[in-house]
Amino acid sequence: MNRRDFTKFLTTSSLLLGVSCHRPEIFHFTNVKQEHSTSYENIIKYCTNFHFANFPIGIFVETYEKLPFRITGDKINFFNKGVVPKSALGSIYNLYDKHRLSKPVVNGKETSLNEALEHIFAKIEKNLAQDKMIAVFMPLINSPFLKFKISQIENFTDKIIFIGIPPFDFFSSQHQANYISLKKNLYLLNDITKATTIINFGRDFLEHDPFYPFFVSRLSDNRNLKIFTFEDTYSLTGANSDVRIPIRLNDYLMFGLSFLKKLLQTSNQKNFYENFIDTFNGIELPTIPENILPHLEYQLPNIHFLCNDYLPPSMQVINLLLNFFSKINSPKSLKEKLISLDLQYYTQNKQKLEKFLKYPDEFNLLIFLDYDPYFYINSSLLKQVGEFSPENLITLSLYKSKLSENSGIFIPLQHYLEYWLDLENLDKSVCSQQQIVLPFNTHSISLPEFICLISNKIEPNATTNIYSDELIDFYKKFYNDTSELSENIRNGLFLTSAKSLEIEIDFKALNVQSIFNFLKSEIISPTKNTLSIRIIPEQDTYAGMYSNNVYLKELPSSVEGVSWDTPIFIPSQLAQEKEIINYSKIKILSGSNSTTLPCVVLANITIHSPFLIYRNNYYFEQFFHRNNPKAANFDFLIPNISELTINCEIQPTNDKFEVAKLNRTIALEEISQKLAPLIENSTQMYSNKIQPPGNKWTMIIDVDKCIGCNLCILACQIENNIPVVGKEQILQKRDLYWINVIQLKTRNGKRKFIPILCQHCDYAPCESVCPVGATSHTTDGINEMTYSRCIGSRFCMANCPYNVRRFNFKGAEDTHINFEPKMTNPFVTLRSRGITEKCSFCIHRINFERTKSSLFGIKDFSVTTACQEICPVSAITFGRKSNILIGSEKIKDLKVLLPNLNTLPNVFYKIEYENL
Amino acid sequence: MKIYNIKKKIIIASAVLSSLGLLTAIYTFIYGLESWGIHKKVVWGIAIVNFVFWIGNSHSGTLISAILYLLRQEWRHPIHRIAETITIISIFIAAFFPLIHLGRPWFFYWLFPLPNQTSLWPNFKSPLIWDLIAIFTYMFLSFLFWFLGILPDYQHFKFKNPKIKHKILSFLSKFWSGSTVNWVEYRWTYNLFAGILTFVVVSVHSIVSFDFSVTILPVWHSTMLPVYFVVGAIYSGLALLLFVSVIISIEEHISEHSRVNLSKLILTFSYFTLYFYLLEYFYEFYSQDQNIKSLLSLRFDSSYLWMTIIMILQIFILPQFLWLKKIRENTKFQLLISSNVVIGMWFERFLLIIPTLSYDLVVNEKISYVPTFIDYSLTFGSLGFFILSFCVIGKIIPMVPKSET
Amino acid sequence: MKIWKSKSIALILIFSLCFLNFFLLLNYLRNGIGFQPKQNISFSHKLHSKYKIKCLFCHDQAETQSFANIPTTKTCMICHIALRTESPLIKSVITSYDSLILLSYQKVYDLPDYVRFSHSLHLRSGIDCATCHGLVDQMDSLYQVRNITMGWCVDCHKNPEKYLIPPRQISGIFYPSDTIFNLTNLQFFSSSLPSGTLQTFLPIPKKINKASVECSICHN
Repeated sequence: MNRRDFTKFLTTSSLLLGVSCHRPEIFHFTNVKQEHSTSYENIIKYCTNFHFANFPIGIFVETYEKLPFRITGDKINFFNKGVVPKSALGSIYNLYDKHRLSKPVVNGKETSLNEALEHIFAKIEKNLAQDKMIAVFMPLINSPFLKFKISQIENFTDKIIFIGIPPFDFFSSQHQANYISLKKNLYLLNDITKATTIINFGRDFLEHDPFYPFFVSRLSDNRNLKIFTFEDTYSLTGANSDVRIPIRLNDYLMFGLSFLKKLLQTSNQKNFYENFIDTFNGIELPTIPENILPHLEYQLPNIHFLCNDYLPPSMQVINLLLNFFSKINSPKSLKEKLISLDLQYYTQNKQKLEKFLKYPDEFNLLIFLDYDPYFYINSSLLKQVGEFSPENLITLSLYKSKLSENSGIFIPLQHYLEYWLDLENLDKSVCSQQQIVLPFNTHSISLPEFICLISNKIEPNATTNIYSDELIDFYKKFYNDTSELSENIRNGLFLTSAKSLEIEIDFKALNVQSIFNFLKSEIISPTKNTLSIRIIPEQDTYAGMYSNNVYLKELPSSVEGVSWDTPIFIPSQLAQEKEIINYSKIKILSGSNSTTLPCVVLANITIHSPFLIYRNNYYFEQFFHRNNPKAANFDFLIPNISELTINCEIQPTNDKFEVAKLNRTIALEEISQKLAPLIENSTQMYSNKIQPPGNKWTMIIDVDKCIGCNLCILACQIENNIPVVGKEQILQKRDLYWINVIQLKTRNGKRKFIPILCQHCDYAPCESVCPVGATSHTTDGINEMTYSRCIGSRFCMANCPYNVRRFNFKGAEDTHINFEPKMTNPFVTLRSRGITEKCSFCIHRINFERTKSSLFGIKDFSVTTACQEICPVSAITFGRKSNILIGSEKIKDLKVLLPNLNTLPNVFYKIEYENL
Repeated sequence: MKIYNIKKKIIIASAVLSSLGLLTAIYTFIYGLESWGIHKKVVWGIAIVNFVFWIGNSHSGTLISAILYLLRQEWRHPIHRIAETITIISIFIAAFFPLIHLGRPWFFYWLFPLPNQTSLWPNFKSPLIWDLIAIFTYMFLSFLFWFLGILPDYQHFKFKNPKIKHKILSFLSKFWSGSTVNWVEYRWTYNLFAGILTFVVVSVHSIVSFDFSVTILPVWHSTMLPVYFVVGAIYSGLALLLFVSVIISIEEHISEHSRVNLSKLILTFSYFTLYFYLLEYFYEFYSQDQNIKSLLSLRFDSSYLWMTIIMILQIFILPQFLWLKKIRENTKFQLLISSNVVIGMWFERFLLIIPTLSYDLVVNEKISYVPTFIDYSLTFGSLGFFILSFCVIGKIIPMVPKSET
Repeated sequence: MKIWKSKSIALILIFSLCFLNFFLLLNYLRNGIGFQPKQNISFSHKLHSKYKIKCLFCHDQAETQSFANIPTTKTCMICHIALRTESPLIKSVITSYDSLILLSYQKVYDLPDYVRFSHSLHLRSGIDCATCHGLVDQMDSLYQVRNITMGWCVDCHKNPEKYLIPPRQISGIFYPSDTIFNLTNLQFFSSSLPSGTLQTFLPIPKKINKASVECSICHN
C-alpha cells in the first residue's frame, strides 16, 4: 500500500481512526451529466471542522467545480460563533491555485517525485560522508511529533541541523518577545473571559490575529466591554475601541511603565514599588489619561492588558507584569506566568540560526522546507544564502518562487489542508490538523512526511512506515486503550489537556529587579529629527502570500476602504509641512535606495508617523500576471521585516495616483434623520398590507455590534457569484457589491459601521417603474429580481433612493475570466451583460429550505443568509418578522433608512443615539 | 452660388457626424454600455438628456401647424411645413435614444404588448411603457399630418431620376386629384387632425415628464414637471424652427412677418420657462426640504456652475433683446438668439436630469458624472443626422408650401 | 374611393400585418412538440412498461432530487444480468457495463439553465409523470408531447386541474415499497432533519392546490 492509497483510504473511511466524524461519506453520483442540474446534490464533499492556526473555524463545501463556494463559520466550535478570518479564506484559495500544479524540478529539468527525492537523499548521504553540515530551514511548528522526529535525527547525527523560524504572524523584532506572547496567550484566554476592561497596546485583534475568533465572540457577547487602545497606526481595533490614544512607536514603553507604576501603587506591592522607584528615578513618565484611572482603581481584577506581538520584548515583558500585578491575589496565576517564561524550545532554534549566520562556511547543503527568506524578508540570511551555489540549495515550497528558481532541486509541497499534523495547543493539549482534501498535485510531498523520510533514510534500523502510521503510533504511547485515542481523534484532538506533556518550572525566572534593569536598558530616547515609516504586514492577503484570492484584493480595507492597492498612509500634519497632496505619489529615500509610492492623507484621524501596509510584491505580481494592478515595489527598502520601521526621507512629487476607495461616510448630525424610527401611519400600513405581515422575511442589523470587518460583503460576493470587476471599474464607480458599508464617526472618535443592502421595501419604488416587470414582490415580502427578464433600462436603479442596485456592465463570465481562481455557486445564476442585480436575501437558500420542508412535511423552516452566517459578532438576524421581532424589539424601537420616503423597508437597524 | 457651396459643406459635415454617431451606436450595441460615462449612481447619461431634448424640439411643429391653424393664424402658412418636417425627424431621433440606452437592446420588443410564449405582458404601471405608447402615437399621427400637409404640393417635388419621379407622383396622385370635393375633404381632415394633435402635443411631453415626476426622487417628484416640460419643449422647438426658417429664407422667400411673430412667441415662452424655473426654487423655499435644498444647490456647485450660468444667459437673458424691434427683425440676431436658446435648452435638460441622479440620498454626497467620447459622438451624431435628413427632405419637397391651404 | 383598390395600399397593409405577427411566428417555430432525437441504444419504454416496471424504478432520483436521472447501466444490469443476454441490443449495454464506457443519451426535454425545476417537488405534490412527459409507457422511443414554454408552466400553476393526470400505478409515485428507495440520495437532506423523518412519507394530497407563480420560484 503506497502513500497515496493510504491517504485515500484514510480520508474516505470513517471507520479508521484518525478521521473526523463530522465528515459524511463522500457522495457518489449515479449520473455524470448533472452539471446543469441545480440541486444541492451536486456537492461532492461536505467538510467541516477545518482548523486554522489551531482554531476550528469553518465548514467549507466543495462543488463539482472543485472549488469551495461557501466558507462559513463553524457553529460547533468552542467559541460558539461562526468566524472566518480573512487570511483563512485566503489560505483556502491558496489551496486551489493553479500555480501549485507544477512538477518537481532537478537542475532545470522536470522529473517525477521519487526521482527528485532520490536526488536529495543522494546529496544528503554524500554530504554526510564528507561530514559537511546540512541546514534545514523550516517554520517553527509547535508539533510534538515533529519535535520528536527531529530530536531523533539530531541525536543520531549532529551534521543535520533543523532551524525552526517562527511563522509570519508571530514574527517580530525579537523572537523572544513573540514566544513569550505566544505562551502568554494561554492566560489571555483565561483572563479575558472575566475582563470588563481591555487596555490594548497597539494590538489589532479585530484583523488577522491568532485569537481573532475569541475576541470577536467576546465583543458580540457583552456590549459593555470597555476597550482603551494605545496605537501608533490606525487599525480596525482603534476604530472600534471606546477610547483611542494615538502615540508614537517609542511611547509604548513609557506608557507601559507608567501603568506599571500605577499598578504597583494600587496593588500595595511595597518592595516592588520601591524597586521600581529607585530604578526609574529621573525618568519622567507620561500621565495616564483620566478616563482610564477609575478602571485602574476600582475594577482591577477585571482589567486586562493586551500587547502587539510586533512590539519589542521589553513591552511584552511589561505587559506580562501588568497582567500579573493586576491579578496578584491569585498565587496560581503566578505559577502559570512563570511557565510562560519558559524559552527552551525557542532558544534552541535561535542559537542554531545564530550559529549558521556566524559560521556559514561549515555548511554545505541548505534545505528550505516551506521557508522562503525572500518572502519573510531577512537580509542577513539572504546574504549568506547568496554565497551558496544552486547545486547546494534545495527548496520545498507551495509555489515556484525566487528561491526555487535559484536552487538546484525544487519539490512542490502540500498545502496544510492536504496532510495530517499535530499541533500543540496553548493549554498543552495537542490538536490534530486534519487532512481535509486529497492532495491535488500528485507530485507534491508534505512537510512532516519529508522529515520522516529523512529520518528513515538516515537511521539504519528505522522502521520504514507511512508517516500517518508513525503519527498514530507516536500517540498510542500516551493512551492505555486505542478506543479513547480514536474518540479523541474524532473530536480533532490527540491528547486531552489532562494528559499534558509536563514542562518543569524554574522559579528563578521571576527576578523582578533584573527585569526592571532590563527594562531600563531598553528605554530609547525618542529620535525626533529622522522620519520613520511604520511597516505593518497586509492583513487580508497575509502579506501577499494569499494574493491569489482576488476577492480579498478587491474587498475594501476595513477602515479606509482602499481596494486593490497598498498606499502609504500619511498624517495630515506631516502632509501639510511637506506639502503632500492627497492621492499623489511620494518619493521615499532611504539611504541610497529610493522609490515612489501612492499616498493617502488621513485627514480626520490622528496618527503621528506615516505607516505602510507591507505586501510581498513578488507573490502579488506572480498571481496578477493577467491584468496586473501593479503595486509599487518597496521590498528593497526594507532591510529586515523584523525591524518595525524604515528610517527615510519623504519628498512630494507632482504625478497623481488614483486610489480606488469604496468607503462613504455619513455626518453625525444627519444620522438622526436618515436612520430614524418609522412614522406612525406607516406602522399601521404594515398591518394593512395584503399578505400577513408576520410572514415576511425581515433582517435586523445591529449597528451597535457591527465592527466593520467587511466580511459580510465578502460572503455575499462569494455566495452570489458577484464578479470581481477589477480596479479600473471601481475607479469608474462601477463596483458590483450588493452590500455597502457606510461609516459614521461618533463624538468620542469611535466609528460606527452601517451595512446598507437592498431594503426589500413593501412599497418598493423600483417595482412599479420596471417596464417589463422584471422585479416584483413575493408574498413573503421579498423584492425579487428576475435576471432573465431584465432588459437593462436602468429605471429601477434611478428610482432606488438607497442606491443598492447595481448594473452589470461586463457580465459575469467576461469579468471572471480575468482572474484566477474562477469559482461559482451553482445555485445562483450567473448574470449576463446589461442587467440589473441586487441583494436577493439569498433567495436560493430560502427556496432550498422551502423544498426540503415541503418534501418532508416540516411546517416552519428557518434560513440563514450568507452575510448572517459569516458575521463574526452576529450583528445580523434574519427570519420571519413574527419570529425575530419578539419582545422589546418592536418596530418602534428599531430604525429604518430614510423613513420619510415611506417605502416601508423590511431591513431594520438597531442603533442608539446615546452611544454616538 | 456661394450659398450653394456652404450648403454642400454643411451636408458633408453633417453626413460625417451622423455616420460617426451611427458607428458609435453600433459599437455600443456590440460592446455594451461599458464605453459610456454612466456608473452605479448616474445610470441615465446624456442619452436620456438627448431623448428629452429632441422630443422637445419635435413640439414646435404641431404647435405651429395644429394650434395656430385652429386659431387661423395666417402667418404660420409659410413655415408650417418646416415645422412639421422638424417634428418628424426629431421624433425619430428621440425614439432612437431610449432604445440604444438599454442594457440588452436586442430584447427591446419585450416592451411591446405582443402575445408571446412566456404569456407575460409589459408592466403597464411603468412610465416607460406610457412613453412608448405616447411617442409612437405622436410619431404616427404627426407623420400622417405631415403627409397630409405635403399632398397638395406633390407636383412640385423634385426628383433627379424621371422613373422614380413618375412612380412616386403616380402613387401620390391616387390620394390627391385637386378637385373641389377633394379640397373640401382635405380641409375637413386637416381640421380633424389639427384637433387631435392639439391634445397629443400636450399629452406626449407630459407623459415623457412622468418618467421623472413619477419617481420619488427630490426635485423630479413634483406636479409642476409636466407643464414645465411642455412649455420648455415648445420653447426649444420654436427656437429651432426660427433657426431653420431663417436659414431656409436665404434661398426661398419666407415673409418677414412670420419670423417676427416666431421671435415674439419665443420671447413669450422664455417668460413661461422662467416662471417654472423659478417655481422650482420657490418649492424649495416653501417646502424647506433638506434634499431639495442641497440638490438645487448642486446646480451652483463647482462642476455645474458654468453650465448653469451659460444656460441662464442663453435662455432667459439673451431672448430679452427681442424686445427691441431692430433686433427682432434682423435675421442675424434671430439666428444668434434662436441657436443660443436651443443649446441653452439642452443644458437646461442636463441640469434637470443629471444632478438628481448623481445625488446620494443616504450620505448626502454628489457622485460626479463625466461623459465619454461615445456619449458626445452620439449627441453630435444625432445633430448631424437631423441636419442631413432635413437637407435631403428639403431637396425633394418644397419647404415653403406652393399652394395655399 | 379608388385608393382602396390600389395594389400598393394592399401591400402596405399586408406588410404591416406580417410585422405585427412576426414574433407570434417566431414562437410558433419555437414549438418543440414531436421532437425525437436519435438515441444511441433503441430503448423501448413501451416494452418495459408491459412488465409493470415503474418509472421510478429506473429514474429513482426523480423522487428525492430536483434532477430526474437517466439510469446507469448498473440499473439495467439488475435484470439484464440474467435476462435476454443474447440479444444484440442488450449486448451493447453489457459491454458498456463491463468496459465502463458511458452510454450517452440525448436529452428530450431540455430546460434552459436559468430555470430551476424540481422533479421531487412535483412528484410529492401528486403530479403524474404523464402530465408533462405524456404517456411514455405507450411510446417506443421517447418524443416530446408538450411544448415546454413558460406560458404553459404558468398556466398550469394557475389552474392545475386543466392539465393534471392523477398518479397512476405505472409511474410508481407514493408506492415507496415498489421503488428501490435509495437512502443515500437523502443523505444530504438528512444532515439537518429531525430523526425518523426519512421513514415517514407524506400522504397523497386530496386535491392539488394552485401553485405560486412568483418569478423566484423558478428563476433566482
